[in-house]
Order: sequence, then structure tokens, then C-alpha cells
Amino acid sequence: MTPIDYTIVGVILVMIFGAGAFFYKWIGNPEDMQVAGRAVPPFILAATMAATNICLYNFVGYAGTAYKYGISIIWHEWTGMMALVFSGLFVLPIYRRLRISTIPEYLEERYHKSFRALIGFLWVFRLAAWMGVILYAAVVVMQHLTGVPTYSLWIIILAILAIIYTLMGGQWAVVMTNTFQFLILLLAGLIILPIALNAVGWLPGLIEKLPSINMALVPQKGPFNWLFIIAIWFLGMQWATTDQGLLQSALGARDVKSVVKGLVYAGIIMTPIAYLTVAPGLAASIINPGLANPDAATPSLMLTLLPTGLLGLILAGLLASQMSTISANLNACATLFTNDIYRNLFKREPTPGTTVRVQRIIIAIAGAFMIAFSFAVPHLGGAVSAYLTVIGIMDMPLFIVGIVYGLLWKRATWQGAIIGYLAGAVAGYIGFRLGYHFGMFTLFSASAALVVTFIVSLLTPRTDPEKLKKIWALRTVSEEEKKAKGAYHIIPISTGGRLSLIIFGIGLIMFLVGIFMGAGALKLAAPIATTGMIVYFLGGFLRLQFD
Amino acid sequence: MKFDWISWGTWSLAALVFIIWIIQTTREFRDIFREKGKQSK
Repeated sequence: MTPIDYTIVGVILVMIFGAGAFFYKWIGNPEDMQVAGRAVPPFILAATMAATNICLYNFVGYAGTAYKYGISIIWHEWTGMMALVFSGLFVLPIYRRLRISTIPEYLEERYHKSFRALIGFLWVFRLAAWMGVILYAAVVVMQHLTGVPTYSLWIIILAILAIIYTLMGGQWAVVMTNTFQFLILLLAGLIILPIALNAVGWLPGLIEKLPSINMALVPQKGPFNWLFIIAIWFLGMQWATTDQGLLQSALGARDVKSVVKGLVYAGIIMTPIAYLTVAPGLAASIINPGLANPDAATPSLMLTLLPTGLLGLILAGLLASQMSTISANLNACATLFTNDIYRNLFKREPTPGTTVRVQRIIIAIAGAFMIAFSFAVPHLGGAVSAYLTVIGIMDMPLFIVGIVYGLLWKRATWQGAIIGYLAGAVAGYIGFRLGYHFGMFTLFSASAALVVTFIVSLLTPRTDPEKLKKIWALRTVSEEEKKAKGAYHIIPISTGGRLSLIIFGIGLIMFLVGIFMGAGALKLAAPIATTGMIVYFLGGFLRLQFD
Repeated sequence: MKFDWISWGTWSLAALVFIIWIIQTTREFRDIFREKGKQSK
């Protein structure tokens, strides 16, 4: 890197900090800090969600995995986007109608405050683990681009930058600057892709030079095979319906229609962008083979191919995206703690000033956890493996208990939910310790949660019918929506709405058929699965045009 | 060499997203700043 690159990085970071400081004065109450005053319009919402999602994890982790194992890691992002569209159409309208600030708040509304406190507590650590992965990715980039290899030095510098940034402006800073960072990152991807592919003879060059297994979109074998795609699709559903770090921006949406549009748009726009993050990893495996750390694929490619100036701009984009992801998640941690634990511990409503103060203290503490976890990432096999391990164990049972049972089965009780969640997490952990494939230990955690919640629920007293009535009523249009004339029906009432939902369903079935065909190494597996995904998105997009 | 439709097609879609997002978010930012301006008066 040259002084020009360092200057560009410095200028962009100063601009981002300036923006954070500017929004400091917009923080008047906890709602401003936590959900940006619930005033975020759809395109900014989609951009901020995209920025929280497309980050260094993708440019480093996906590219690193593509470098080592091939293109099929792209399904990690694609299935996540499919899940985001599903969540926008069916689940987020319910949350938005509840006017909650955290996902555990929903768990209290549906189950019990003990379940809310348990998940609130566990999720502070869960999000800190995710931030640790992002921080690790940023360190890998900085180590390779600057030539300064000290791991702990970079951890401290990058973590402190992100913590200070979040402390300044809360969710307004997250929302506003995320939009800007998303655009810089997208620009970075748009620049890297043609340069990297041009160096290897584009897609035909990749197909010719790489082993066929690395270019199989739905491979039969390997750690990122068809089973992985199914498992990550399930986990994507969990992520898109219960991840506080992702959904906090969505909970700040202006109204129900905005949240639906925001999520569907975000899902669709991020799908082509996934290729921008994976393809450079494939190109790097030809240009710079034999890297000791595959996660260094994109940074090594940038050093090899990018001219002075452009390197600085792209590095700034990558660092900015790391800050946006960490700041969104730090803010989510703090919101979880203040809303789900602090209030329960002290049994009284804190003043708005106290809430904002506690929120800021927790941001600093969660930041410390993030730093601690980032040191564990290299021992867990790098960015993608570390993250998959955590979500396979902790996230899957929450999806089963919170969404599958929570929204579809009235008989599920809070005792069943808590014991089922813990059983799922323990089963997942045992599977992981015994060395099972990621898809298998995710299946263990899901199955244990499914069975145990079912049995314990039947053995415990029924949930208060009034509580259930409130949740089930959220499926229908609220008074607020009727007044605003922006009604959204989860189950459409118009013919167009129903037709679009049928298209959506056909796409989903095609996608699943395609992936299962991958188990038999059938040639048509990849075309059917990808066409299914496109049809699914088309159905989701059309659905927005009707009631 | 054959033209790489998949890569350029994906790249064009992403570029289109980039342009649309700049236009739309600029509009939405303008509205938010106007609203905040009104509130502070």
C-alpha cells in the first residue's frame, strides 16, 4: 500500500466518523437509539440491512471458502436472501405490528418472560461471537494489505474504532452511515469482479482451469455439498426471522408495508452481489495458489491486481462495511440487554436517560466480548467454519421453538420452549464435538428441539388463551395500517396476491428439488435450483404489488 | 474468447442496483432531513 492509499482510507473513515458524530444530536430517547425512532423508509432500510449483511465476512470468508472448496459457498448468501424474502412476507409484519424493539420481546409475548431473559442473555454472547468473526476478517485484510502481521494490534485498533463509532450515534448512525457504506462496498465489488475475472479468462477460464468439483454449484460431495445447502437454507430461515443484529433495522421501519418492501428488496438486490464476493475467491485460487490462510484470497488478489488509489478506496469500503456490521450488532447487543435483562433485573422502568446510558455501557462490554472471541476464530477453522459452528448450535433451535412452534402451534408452552431450546443447543454441541458435518449437527439440534418442545409442551399446562389470541390476531391487518391506508395482508385477499404467492411456492419447490437432485450428482440439479430461486424472487417481488 | 454473459449479466444487475439505490436513498435522506429540520424549528 502507498501513502495515497492510506490517505484515501483516512479521509473516508473521518467522513464516516463525522456522520456518526452528527447523528449524536438526534438521540433524544431510547427509541432513537434502538430503532431510529421507527421512521426508516424502505430503500434506506434495505440498504442498511444489505450493509449489515454484505460485509467483510463475505469478501473474506466466502472468498476464502470459494478459494479452497469452490463456488457452492454462494448458496450461503443466496439461501439467506431467499429466507429474507420469506421473513419479509410472512414474519416481519407480525413483529412490526407488535411494535417490539428486540426479538426476545416477541418470545415474552408468545411464551414467557423467562424465555425472553434466557435468549436475551445468550444472544449478547451469540452476537459478540459473530462480531468476533467480522473483526477477524478485518484483521486478515489489514495484515495482508499493510504487511503488519501483529494480530492483536489490529484487533484492538479495529475494535476500538467500531465501538467509538457506535457509542456516538446509536441506531441513527447505524442506519444512515450503513447506507453510505453499503454503496462504497458495492462499488468495491463492482471494481474487483471484472479485474479479477479478466485476469483468469472470465467464467470459461475458471471452468477450464479449476477442478470440476470446485465449479459445481450443487456438489454431491465435500463440506459445502447439497446437504450443506439444505442446512444453510434452514439456518437462513432462522437468521432472517430471529437475528437481532439483522432485524433491529427492520423493527425501525416506518410501517408494515415499508418493512415488507425493505426485506424483499434487500433479499433480491443482494443476490447478484453474492457473485461479486465469491468469484474473486475462485480467481485468486488460480492467480495466487497455495495461500497458507485461504481467507487471505481477496486481500492477496487486491494487492496483486489493484492499482494505487483504487486499493485505498476498496480497503476503505471493506473497513467501512466491517464497522457497519459491528456497529449494528453492538447496538443490537445493547438493546437486548437493556430491554430484556436490565428491566427484568431491576423490576422497574428505567428513565430514558438511564436506558441510553446503560445502552452505551453495554456497547463497550459487548465490544470486549467481541475482542475475546476474535482470538478464538483462527482455532475454529477460520471465518466461515467458526460462524457456522455457532449458528448450527445456538440458532437452529431458536427458529424451531420461536417461529415454527411459536407461530404455527398454539399448544406449544413456555416450559416446552425453554427445555426444547436447551435440548437442541446441547444436541448440536454434542454433534459438533463428535466431529459431524455441519449439516448433520444442525439437523441434530433441529430434531432435538422439535421433539423435546413437542413432548414437554404436551406435558405442561396450556398457554393463556388471551396471550395466544393477541399473537394470532397479528396475522391480520392492524388498525394503524387501516388508518394509514397501507394495509398488508400476510395471506393475500386479491387474485393477483394469491397468484404471486403460488409463483413464490413453485419457485421454492423447484429450488428444493434441484438441491436434492444434487445428492444424485444429476446434471440438471444446478439449473433447476437456480431457476427455482429466481422464480421464488419473482413471486416475492410480484407479491409486493398487491394487497 | 466467448463473451461471459453470466458474469457481465450479474455485474450489470449489481451496477443497476448501485444506481437505483443512490437515487432512491438520496430522495429518502432528503425527506428525513427535511422532517428533522421541521422538528427542530
